[in-house]
Amino acid sequence: MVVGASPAQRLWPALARTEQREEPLEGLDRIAAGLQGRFIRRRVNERERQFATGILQVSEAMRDFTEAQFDERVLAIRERAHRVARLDPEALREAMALGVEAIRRTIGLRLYPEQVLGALVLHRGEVAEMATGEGKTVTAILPAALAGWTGQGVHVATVNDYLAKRDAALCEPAYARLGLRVAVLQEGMKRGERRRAYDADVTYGADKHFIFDFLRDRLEAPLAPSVVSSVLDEVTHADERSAWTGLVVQRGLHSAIIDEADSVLIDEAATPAIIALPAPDGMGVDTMDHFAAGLGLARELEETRHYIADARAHRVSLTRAGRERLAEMAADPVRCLPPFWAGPRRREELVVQALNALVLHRRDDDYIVRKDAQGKHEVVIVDRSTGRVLEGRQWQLGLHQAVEVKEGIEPSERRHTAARVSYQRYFARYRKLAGMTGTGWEVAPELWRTYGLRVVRVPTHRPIARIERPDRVFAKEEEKFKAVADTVRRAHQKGQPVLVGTRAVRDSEHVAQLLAEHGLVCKVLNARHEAEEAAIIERAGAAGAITVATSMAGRGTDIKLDDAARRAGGLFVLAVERHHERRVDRQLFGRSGRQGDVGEAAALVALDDEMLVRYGLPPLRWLAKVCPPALRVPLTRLLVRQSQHAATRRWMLMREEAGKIDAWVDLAFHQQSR
Amino acid sequence: MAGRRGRDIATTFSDLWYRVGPTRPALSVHARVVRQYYGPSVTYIVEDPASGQFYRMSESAHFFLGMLDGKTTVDQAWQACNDQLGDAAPTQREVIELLSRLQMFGLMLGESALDAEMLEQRLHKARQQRLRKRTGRWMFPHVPLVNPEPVLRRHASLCRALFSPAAGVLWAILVLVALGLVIANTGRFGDALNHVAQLSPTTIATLGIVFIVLRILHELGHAVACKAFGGRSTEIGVILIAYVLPLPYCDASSAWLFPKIWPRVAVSLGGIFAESVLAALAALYWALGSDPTWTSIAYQVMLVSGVSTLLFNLNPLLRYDGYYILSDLAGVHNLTQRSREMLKYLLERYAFGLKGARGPSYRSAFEAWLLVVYGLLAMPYRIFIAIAILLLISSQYLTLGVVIAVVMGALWLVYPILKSIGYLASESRLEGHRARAWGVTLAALAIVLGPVMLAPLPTPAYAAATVEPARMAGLRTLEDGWLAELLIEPGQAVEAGQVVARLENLALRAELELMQARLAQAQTQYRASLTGQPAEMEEYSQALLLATEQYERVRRRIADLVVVAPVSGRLSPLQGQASSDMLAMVGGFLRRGTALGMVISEQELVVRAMVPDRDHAFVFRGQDAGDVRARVRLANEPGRVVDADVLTIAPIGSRDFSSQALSSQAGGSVMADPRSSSERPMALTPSFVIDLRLIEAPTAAVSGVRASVRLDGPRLPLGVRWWRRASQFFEGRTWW
Repeated sequence: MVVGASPAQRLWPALARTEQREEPLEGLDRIAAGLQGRFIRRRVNERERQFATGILQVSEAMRDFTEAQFDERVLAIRERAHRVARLDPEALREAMALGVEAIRRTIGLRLYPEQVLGALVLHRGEVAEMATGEGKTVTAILPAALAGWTGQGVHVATVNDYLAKRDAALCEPAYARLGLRVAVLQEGMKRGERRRAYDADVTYGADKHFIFDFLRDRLEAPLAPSVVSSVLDEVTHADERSAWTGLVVQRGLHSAIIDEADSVLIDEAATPAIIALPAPDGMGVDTMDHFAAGLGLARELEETRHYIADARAHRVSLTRAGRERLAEMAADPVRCLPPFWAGPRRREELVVQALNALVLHRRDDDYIVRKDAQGKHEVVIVDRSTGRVLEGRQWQLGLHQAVEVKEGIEPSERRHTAARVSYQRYFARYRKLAGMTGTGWEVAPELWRTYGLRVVRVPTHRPIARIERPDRVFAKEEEKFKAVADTVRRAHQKGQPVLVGTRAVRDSEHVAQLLAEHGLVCKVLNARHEAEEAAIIERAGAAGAITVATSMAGRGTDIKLDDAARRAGGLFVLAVERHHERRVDRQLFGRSGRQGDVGEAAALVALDDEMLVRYGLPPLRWLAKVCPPALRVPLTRLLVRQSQHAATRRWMLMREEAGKIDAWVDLAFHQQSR
Repeated sequence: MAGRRGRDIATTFSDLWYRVGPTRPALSVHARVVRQYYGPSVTYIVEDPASGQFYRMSESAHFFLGMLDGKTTVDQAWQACNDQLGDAAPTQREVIELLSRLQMFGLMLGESALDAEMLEQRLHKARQQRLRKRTGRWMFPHVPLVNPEPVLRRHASLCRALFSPAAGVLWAILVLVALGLVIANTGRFGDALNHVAQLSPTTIATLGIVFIVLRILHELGHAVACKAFGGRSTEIGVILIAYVLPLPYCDASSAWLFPKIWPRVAVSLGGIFAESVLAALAALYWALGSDPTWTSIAYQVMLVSGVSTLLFNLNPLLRYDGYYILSDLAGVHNLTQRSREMLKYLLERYAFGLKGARGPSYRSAFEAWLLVVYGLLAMPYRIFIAIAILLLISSQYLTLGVVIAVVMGALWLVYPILKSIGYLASESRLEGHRARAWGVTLAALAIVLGPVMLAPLPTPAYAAATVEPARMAGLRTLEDGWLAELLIEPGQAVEAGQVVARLENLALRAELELMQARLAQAQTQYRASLTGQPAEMEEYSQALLLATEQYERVRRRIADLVVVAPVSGRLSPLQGQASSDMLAMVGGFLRRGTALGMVISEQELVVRAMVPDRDHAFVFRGQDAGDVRARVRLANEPGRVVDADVLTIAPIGSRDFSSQALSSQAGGSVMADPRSSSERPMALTPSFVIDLRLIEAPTAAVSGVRASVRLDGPRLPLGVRWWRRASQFFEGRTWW
């Protein structure tokens, strides 16, 4: 049994240069690759079904094995997996069957054919789309075990610590039965602990841990410029701790299975992972007090006359009049800017930055203000699609400080990037990448284009019993919020547990207040209440429970119904607003009707919802407003689809832009790559 | 690379700074940095001697680069820049861009020496780039042939002498004299032009040779000029235009490093200088010389050098010498690319409403205008030249021409269209303005193409035709006999009743003599019987009558030995025979009723045209034959167009030729089916034969002459016409 990886094991994979596209695709190539991704996404076929059935049959036959017999077979397969690059179908069948049987013996679950199908898809390095509640966690055991047996370590990534811990705890007995060690990465672990975690056969963790450990490794132990010098280095320092392999935590990126693949690979990839350190002396100019000055100037400008805020493109630009006004103000000695920012070019840049903070970034939507451990206020970013706080992340280039000044908080120390890698480039480094998600179909083109991942849809085991009601449409937001209370009350009176989904933190609090006014007691789950997440989710499935949540409740949370709730008609999910991404809507609705349970889902749409205003085509919106009521629902559905499409596209382009910049710098400075 | 350029580099800070900030690079000693005056301002050029690439940078960037000595960090240098230059200091993004560019050139020295792996990668990149140049972007591969540098170096003083002021004066005198001579002989010049324009095979051959010689001289001129002003020229080779036409080139790019404007311009002019010397000498010989062959070659030298200089070399709209001269004189570098960026910027800013769009930087209003005007002129001119080259190539080489036309059409037309679609569909900068961008583009297309596609235009159809007589009469012998003589040569005009040929029949003559004798005997006997018995007289009178009758009959047969033209017209051999066949009959025996030839009436001629069936459907759809306007151009009088009426239209189409002269085997323009027999050739595609009557027959209208006919169908919009053509094309073809 291998305990810890040898230096050689650590060294080689890090040196082996993985095949990477040098530059992201552009223009027609990009369109072609997108079309290709759309074209090759598929459903599972008959051959795979037969293979899955075959695995289940073989595993049936293993039920009579004694423990010793079982161990013997495991050892044989493991030895083989260690040796050959690819298992032949016969061996693959047996290996999978061993996994199925191990799960039955330890966790007590019998896998469905659909789960085995999902496992096959993962093993092949594709993205399995499995409906929510189909037992993805257990499914991942089979491919992870196969990868673990090769001895190179497999990373199972998910969206947060809570889910990683839960999944690892659930699966550990099965892995142990298969002779594999499991470890979980958690926030606050020391480097030594992390190193041990990576030495395990299967490492569970939130995606950010994997990527930041990678970055920290690069920081602590920069790679020597070439293979030759690395090896020389290693040999000459073989017995010292300073050797490169003694410093790094990870032992190469071999294979990864990503739970909630679309969230990790697509949504989180919008911003690169950055390790920022407080600026050491001599780095950067003294820029601490200019934000206030910039904001002061920005507050005096008028919209449309002096600047144009393009919410859709998320961009502010100054008009000619704005520039002139700025020049006038700058000439005023009373509110003069620091000399560094006084020139026209930097002055305008500073004011645009301030306007960005003022106009485009909104409190309790894009960010929240909370108290940190020392009782000081701080601005933290809320992720748009997961609704979670992005711990320790800052907007770059002074934007964060500008927002802090806007909120009247002492601007935090400006930090400088010390290492950075985009999600796109990090995950593309894995030799073998697989993912599973409930919603991958829509992002198939992008997954193919950026990661070369193909999406395969796995059918549900039981038909979905969830009833999805058509959207209810309102002209004004206020009318909509009035209807929320009524709708919730009706379901509540039936005894159904209710989950109200909102987009922004602000909305969730507003809804909670409304419900309280109507005498309905509810629990709120948003970025401010992450600590209580587990407890809130636990109770959300009880009869009569009312939970108001942002899209935080959308991913991986398993709301278990009690019997009374099931009798009352299951969980009722009410989306107060359509999200920018259709996937997020689908995830939220997927909280109800899990594993064939009954359930209900509905969404409310107001024609002045932020998303429709920002992304909807004006003529279509106007039409929906003035048309006869009979046409309003279908027209609104069209409008929602169109807006979601536009929004999704917009964010996709921003992600690609982020990836491009990284690729470009890598290309120019690749020998210093870190 | 293109997407990178447009990225905003105006923000002072960059989150990528951590990568370069702490490093301590220095410019490699191999890099040559040259200060250059460009118009009113100063720029710096860095040359990578290994790859021959150049990078141009601003003064502030150069200031920054100057501070990097390998001991200072990039960050320190940048801060120092900020202290000294203030707002004009390069932004972090600009610095990163500058350093990464130099890094890619291999011109930066880092803290650690470059390792072998890196060098290898770089070499690979450079090799790829060179290969791309060789294999030819836009189908213009470069094949290097010789390195003129050693020879030039040995004769450097000669080079300098050739480009000295004295040489300039001599050159001016020579050119002025030559021009004077040409102007004095303007008339002769025009005549010779007509002669050359006929493009006989010999002319084409000599033109080709003259062209190549001139080009070689031109390129040598650049090389010599480059040496004369202290540069190096290390490569002379051949560009294969479209892989077919060889064109010499010379790499004189070291001249780009000349600090002063005038030497740079002189190097650009060197080629034209050399060419003009030869052209002037040729003009002298042409005006004064006597040998006709050499005179014509001298003329061609003048012509070719004049045309290529004015149309290509001195023309700044194409990227030849004129272009570089213009950019040097106006002090504007990268004209083409920047004018394109400028137009794109104007389009994005004003047509698509992109408020944040950023154009190329320019230093003065003059430069901005130059970019705009140049862009607007150059693009159409280039398209025009491209299409002209396409047409020229495809007309010269038939099958190869089609292949080249398809490939070039794809490169010059289809690829830009696809690229624009890609730009409109996925350019991230257009986000938020995409609907407008599409709208504006489609609207502009509709405005330009709408009238063209929708306005009814005459639908011309062109057909090959021959002039044919409307009537003709055969010449047949009336009596057996040997053809004694043809009185009229075939092809000559005859009057009705005029004798065309005379036959000889000796047996008939003998019979006539016999009959004459018999007649005389009968007369004598009759006269003698007048004195005898009345019954006897009766008997002889009968005999006399018989003899007279027999004699008369033979005499008439003799008279029939003459062949007389039945109608006025022109004597012509039989269909399918030549006049020599007719002449060969002289002396031969002809049976009665043998056809000798025919007389073709010239009073009435028709033009018989073969209209391809696909055009037939167009022209005669929805209008009467009488309404169709037809115009005829005769091959022997190409300058004149004659109106004609449609007389008859063949009811069915067929693949027979209305006249053999139209078949491609006989040099006509209608493709003959190679599988058909040579006795009865068939056309490749069916056509309808229509007869046209010329409204006023020109004198040149002689039967047998080829003609081309233009038929105007009903006025149809272009869109409808293309649609019908397309459906015709797909009609009757099985595609799946």
